[in-house]
Order: sequence, then C-alpha cells, then structure tokens
Amino acid sequence: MPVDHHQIENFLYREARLMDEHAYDEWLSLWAEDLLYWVPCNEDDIDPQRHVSIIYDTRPFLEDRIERLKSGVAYAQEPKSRLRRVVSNIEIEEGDNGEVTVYSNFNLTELRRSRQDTFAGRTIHKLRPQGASFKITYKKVLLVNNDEVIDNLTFLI
Amino acid sequence: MENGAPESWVIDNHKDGLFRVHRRTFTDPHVLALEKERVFAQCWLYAGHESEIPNPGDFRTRQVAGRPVILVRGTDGQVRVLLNTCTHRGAQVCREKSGTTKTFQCAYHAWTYNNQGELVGVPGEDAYSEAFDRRQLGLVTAPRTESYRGFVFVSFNPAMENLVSYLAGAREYLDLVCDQSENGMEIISGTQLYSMRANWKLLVENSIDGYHALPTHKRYFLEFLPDTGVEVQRMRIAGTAKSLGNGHAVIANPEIPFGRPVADWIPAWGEAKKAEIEAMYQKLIARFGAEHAYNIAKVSRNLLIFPNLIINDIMSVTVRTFFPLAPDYIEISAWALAPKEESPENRVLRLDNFLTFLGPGGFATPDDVEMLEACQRGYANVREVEWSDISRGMTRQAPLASDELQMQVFWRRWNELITGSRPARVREAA
Ligand code: FES
Ligand SMILES: [Fe+2]
Repeated sequence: MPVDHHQIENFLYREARLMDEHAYDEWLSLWAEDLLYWVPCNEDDIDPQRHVSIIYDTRPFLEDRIERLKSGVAYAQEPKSRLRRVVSNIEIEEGDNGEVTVYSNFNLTELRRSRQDTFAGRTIHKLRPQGASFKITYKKVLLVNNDEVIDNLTFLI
Repeated sequence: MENGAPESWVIDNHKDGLFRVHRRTFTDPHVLALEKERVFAQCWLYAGHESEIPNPGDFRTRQVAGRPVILVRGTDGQVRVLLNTCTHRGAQVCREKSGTTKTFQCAYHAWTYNNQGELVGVPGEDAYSEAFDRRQLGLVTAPRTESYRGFVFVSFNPAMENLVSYLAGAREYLDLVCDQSENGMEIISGTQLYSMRANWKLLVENSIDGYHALPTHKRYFLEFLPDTGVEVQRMRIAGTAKSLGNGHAVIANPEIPFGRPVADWIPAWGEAKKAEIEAMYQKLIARFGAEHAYNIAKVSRNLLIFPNLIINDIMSVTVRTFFPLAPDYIEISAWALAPKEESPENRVLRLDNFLTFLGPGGFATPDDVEMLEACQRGYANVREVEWSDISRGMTRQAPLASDELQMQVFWRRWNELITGSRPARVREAA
C-alpha cells in the first residue's frame, strides 16, 4: 500500500502543535515504547554513546523529562515559553513494513521573559504504522545552533 | 573607592557571624573592568585538558578569559597555549575549531607558523629590512602555561606563582578526581555551551552551593532519583565544606545515591552491573587503601578552583569554566571527564548521568540558570537593597556543605584581589 504523504504531514503538524502548546501527555502518547529522542551537541553526526549530546533520551528519560515539565517545579519552564513553529520541506523515505523516515525543517519562535529567540533545525523522524496512525520510534533534531551557546532548551523541540 | 562605590564590597564580621556582599559587585561595569585586570589577568585559568589534543599537531581553538587562543600539541610533544593573533597585522591565524596540523597559515597575507608557534614563512621576506627578525615574531604564547595531571592552565601574569603552589589544598581534591583512573582521565568528546543573563560570581556560588540542591532541584532529588530505585532515606545532603587556600574551596558529600560509574552502584543499572562496580571499588581499595578509595568512589565533591574553574565530581564529572562578557551575561563551556579505560557500556551510563542533570537540556542546569537570572533581575533594586547575606553556618565549628563557608572563601579572596586589602573584618554589619 502506498504511503499517504498527506497523513504523514498531518502527523508532523499535530506533533508540532502539541509541542507548541505544552500538551505533554498527548505528545508523549505519539511515541512508541522503544523510543530514542536525540539532540546532538556540536555536530550533527556524532556517536551519542561516545560524545556528549544535548538530549539523548530513551523511554525512561523521556518519561521523566515530561513528568518534570508537568511538576510545576521545573523552574526553567515556569513561566513557560510561548512557542510557535513552522514545519516544512518534508521529504519521505519509505522503508519496510510501512515504516517511514521523514525529513523536515522547522523554524521556531520562542518568547520567554520578554525575550524572543529563534531556533531552527532539521528533524529526522522514524515512524512506525500503528492502527490508523503512527508512533515515533526515533527522532533526531539537528539544531542549526548546536555548536553555539544555548540558554534554555527545556521546551519541547 | 572610586565612582561612589561602598566603603567595602564585602563585610566579614566574625564577631557576630555575619557575612555580606554588596550587590553592585554583580551589576557594576566598573567592577567587571577591575575583575578583568585584577582577577582574570592574574590568576591561573583553566585552558583545557591534555587529552583533548592527544597527538603531536592536534589543536583546538577556544577563548580563555575572552582571548582567542589555540591549545596545541607541537611536533615536539609539548602543549602550548598560543594567542590566536597574527604578529603581522593581527588576523586570527587559526580559523578552525579543531584539527591536526604541522603549520598554521594566516589567510590574510600568508605568514606561516609551525605548530610550536615559530614564524617559518613570510612571503616576499626580501622586502623587509635587516632589523626585521622573524625569530621574534612567532605566535605569542600565554605568559605562563603549566599543567597539573592533564589540566592545562594559563596565567597572563608572567610573575605568577607556580601552578602547584597556586592550587594549594585544591591539589588533593584534583588528585581524588584523577585517581579514579589508572591510565589518566580524559575529556569525553563534546562541549556543552550555554549562557546565562547573570553575573559570573553567581555561577561560582551556585556551583558549590549545597543549600540550594533540594529546593531548586526538588524533583531530581525527591522523584527522579527515587524512581531509579534508590532508597529515599539515603537522600540527604550531609557533607562538609572546606577552604583550600587562595580562594579555592570544596564541598564533599558522602553517599548521595545518584550512582557513580566509579564506583557506586545504583539499582537502575541492574544486578549484572553490581558485581562489576563493586570489583572496581575493591580495586581502588587495593590501590589506595580503604579511606582514600571511599573518598574517590563514594564521596561526591564540588570543587572551585579560583576564580572560574568548577570540577563537580558528582553523578558524573563535569569540568566547567565561564567568563563574563558583561556584568549580567556569561558564556559557559562544560565538559565531561572520565577514566580513559572506561568500558563503552559504563561510558553510556556516565553520559546518561551527565545529560539527565547537566547542560541546556538537562534536568537541573536550566533551573539553576533560571534562579541565577532571577537573582540578577532582583539586583535592579540595588540602590535600595544593597547587600546579599552569605552568613550561613559562619559560626559553626565544622561548616556543612549546606552552609556558605565555601562562598565566603571565594569572596574573601575576590575582595583581596579587587581592593588589594583584606575585607573590613571589624566593621559591624550594615
Ligand atoms: S595579518 Fe596575518 S599575514 Fe598579515
Ligand atoms: Fe544546581
């Protein structure tokens, strides 16, 4: 069965909206059990098991990240960042068993404590079909500024 | 004092056990100018680690005290810190982040230096007079460069005392960090870079502040760690604080159950790891005896090497340095340090420990940033609220890690360097 590009785009847009709106539980529900969420540091292609990353979460760590954000005492997100992002330039690679690798770019505006910042980057999603939708098994975020000072990366990217 | 500064920046009142710091030390550009001259242009400053440039020709560029430098291992094997500015008309000679090279060629007019800094090529050299001597025009090295167990320091004061005597009591604590390994420690590849809109001295205080750990990082200590299977009753910060001389200080906390790859096991690592970590511990006992081994493996420490090097040997070892670009803005570089011989599997545990606490996406660092920026914002009230209180535990015989002795130690030294005198000890608190 051919991959429905429109459906995949909608999935990414929905994910983006959930991140923008700090809908933590709903966002977490998009992920597969065996997940990997990775934001490399300094370079896009490093070995995360031998090189320091910014974020390298397996499920227990991602769950804790979300619990932390929901706790009310994650002060770096109290008050929360105001976020809106645009996701575009989507390219889809079809794999086995309906799995897809999706490449996209994002441009994110963050406003917090009267300061507005821009983050941009490329995201690689691996999606596994489940029921009528997908689950994210892998997400790698290549920040344009991953080799520059970053003051706060506690919102979801 | 100049510019209507207070009579004293620091009140060190032993009689009543009160210690106060004037908040203009955090806000005043005049103070920052003094710090650049009297602190950062004098003291030994961390420039990097020898393991970052293991082979001849390896180099890394970075900033030390705002100066662009090249940390390089020459063909002769010697580690140098070269000031990254061409002796011709000033261009940064090395424009890459890292690499391996025999020569650095300035792109502007192609003067060429070897990896020991000597000027070896000047195009059209015949156009210069007899007096032009390229042997005197090598890249300038930091006036002083010395290493201690792989940690490379520079001082911009040619007359500075030698590094080992400068380190004073901090040396013993660096040893405890380095003794984790039989083959030496190495910086794990990768630099975390982050910034905060706060004064650099706030990060000094925060990095060695046992008092803030539970309130600021409540969730980490009271939920995240218990979730990893540690007993909540082990969850206490019960250590001590110690002055190490020359403004250096340490807090040492026994048996905080965050798991230390050398060599304190936690249940989250699984039963299979338990025996291996225990064997590691036994090996340390065999090498150093029970007491030193306990101090290496089971005691975590937050070490300040004055003025701006922090080595926090906690759930992983982080090496952190920072420099003020403005009274209310700093940039921080942080690295993870580990035994060279660490197994790939334990390296992953170490990195998990590192990332779940530290860095701009960690579970603790961003909250520290938020708190320090909140302090800095509060200092806009400095005209009406002049003093910060740093008196905690001042009259205690043996100060605790949750006291503020370690900060008092920093501030006394800071005050000596800035004012050329000891703090106003006899003055009553404001
Ligand atoms: S400035 Fe470097 S060669 Fe002229
Ligand atoms: Fe902290």
